[in-house]
Amino acid sequence: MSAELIVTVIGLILKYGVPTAIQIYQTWAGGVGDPEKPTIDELEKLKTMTPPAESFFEE
Amino acid sequence: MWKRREIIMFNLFLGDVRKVRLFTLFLAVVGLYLVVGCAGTQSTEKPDFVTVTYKTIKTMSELYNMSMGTLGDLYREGKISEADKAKAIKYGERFRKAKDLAVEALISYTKTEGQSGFVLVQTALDEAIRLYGELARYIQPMLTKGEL
Repeated sequence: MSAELIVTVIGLILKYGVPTAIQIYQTWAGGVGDPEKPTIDELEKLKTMTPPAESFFEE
Repeated sequence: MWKRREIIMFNLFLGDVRKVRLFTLFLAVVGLYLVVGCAGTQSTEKPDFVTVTYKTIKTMSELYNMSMGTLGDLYREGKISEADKAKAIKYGERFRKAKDLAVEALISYTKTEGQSGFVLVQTALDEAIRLYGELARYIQPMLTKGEL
């Protein structure tokens, strides 16, 4: 995933709003994950998917 | 019947503006009806709601990771100030907490499937979406400034 794409996605968010931009992104990416209803385990994994913001700036 | 069709086609071919506009309007109404009809059908089914919410949260989380990762790279390259970094962390954490609440609400709803849980998930998801929008608005100039 290139940095240019992130700028593009954020541009879409600013122009069309988050839900529409997400739909566009999902269409582009061919959907995220399986189309099946997620299991509890898969939902639980969402909790640990995003590290604390500060960790991204560590040297 | 055939004769009438020929006349309509002939009028369209000749550029009868009124008829073309009417035909366009008709297509737009049919298209709108189909879109609204399909949207209504999907939103009433509980499995779709859980799946769509899951995918939305997952996508937002991926975008958060990519955005913050890029900001981290720019920071290490000296293209982002300490003040901007602090604000990015503040907005990032606000989104992360809202997202975690939405995930908790979705897990509870999946287990119980009660109406109050449904409303709670929607409220938490709306808040997470709003805060991701806020984060995106804040970091967009920084990403652009970084001359990616």
